[in-house]
Amino acid sequence: MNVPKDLKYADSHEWMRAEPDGTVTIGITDHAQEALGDLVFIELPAVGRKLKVGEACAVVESVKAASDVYAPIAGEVAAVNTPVTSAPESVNEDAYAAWLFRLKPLDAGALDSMLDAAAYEKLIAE
Amino acid sequence: MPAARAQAVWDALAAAGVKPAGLGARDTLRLEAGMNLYGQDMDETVSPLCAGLAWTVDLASPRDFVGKAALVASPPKEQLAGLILQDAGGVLRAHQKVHTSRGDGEITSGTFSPTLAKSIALARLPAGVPAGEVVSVAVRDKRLAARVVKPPFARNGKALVN
Repeated sequence: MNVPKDLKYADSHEWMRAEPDGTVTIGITDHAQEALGDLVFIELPAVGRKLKVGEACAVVESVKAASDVYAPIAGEVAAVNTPVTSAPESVNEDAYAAWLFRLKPLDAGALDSMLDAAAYEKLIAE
Repeated sequence: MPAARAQAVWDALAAAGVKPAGLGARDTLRLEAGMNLYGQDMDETVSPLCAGLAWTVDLASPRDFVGKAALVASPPKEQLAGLILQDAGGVLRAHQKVHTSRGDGEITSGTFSPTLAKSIALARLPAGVPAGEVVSVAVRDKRLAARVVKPPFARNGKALVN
C-alpha cells in the first residue's frame, strides 16, 4: 500500500499536502481507492464553499459503493480538480496525483494535528 | 471442503489459470443481460407479469395451471423496465425513486455498465410508461434524467441499447 511520507492523513482516509501558497491539497488515499474499487463518478465541492471539520463535501462512487469525502480540516474551497470528474479512474491509477480539492485553511496549523504516514499506516493495518 | 484446505485449492485454481470473478462482476453481467435477481427485483409477492417474466407464462393456453386464475383476474399495474442514466451525477441504485408520466416507481437494481459506459438499472414502474420516455430519478439531492428501455442492455459484450 502506497503511503507517501511527505503527506498528512485523516482517519477518514483523505490525504493532505501543504502548498507553498498556504493552501492544502486534499485527495483520497491509495488505501481508500483500493477499498472502493473502480471509480465511476466523482462530485466536487463548489469553489468558495466554506467547510467545517468533518463536513461531507465531495462524493466518490465506485461500481460497488458511493462514499462521501469529508473535509479533514476547516477552510474555504480554493480550487477543485475538475478533470477528475470526467476521468474518475485517474484516482484509481494514482490517488496522490489525482487530487480532489484545495482548501484555504481557517487555522494555518490545522495540519499539525493530522496523522503522519507512520500513524496512517498503523491505522490501515488494523 | 475443510476450511484449512481452501487456500491451497484457491492457489491451485489460480495457478491453472482460473480467473477470479466476484459478486460485483456477476451482478454487472446479469444486469446488463436484464436478468432479475431473486429477492431484489422480484420475490413471491410480485406477479411474473410485473417482473418482466410474462414470456414464461402462457395465458392463451386452454390449460389450467396453479395461479392462472389470479393472473387473469388482476392485469398488471406495474412493469419491470430498464433505465439508462442520461445525466452525469451518480450511479443508479436500488430504492431510488423514479418519477414518470404515469406516477412514481422505484429502482430495484442499479449499477454502472462497463459495456455501455453508463449507469443502468431495472426499475418497477407503473404500467403504460413506454420505452423511450425520459423519467427523472432521485439520486441523493438531485433529480437526474434516465431513459426507459426494454432490457437486455447488452449481449456477448456488445451494447443492444444506448
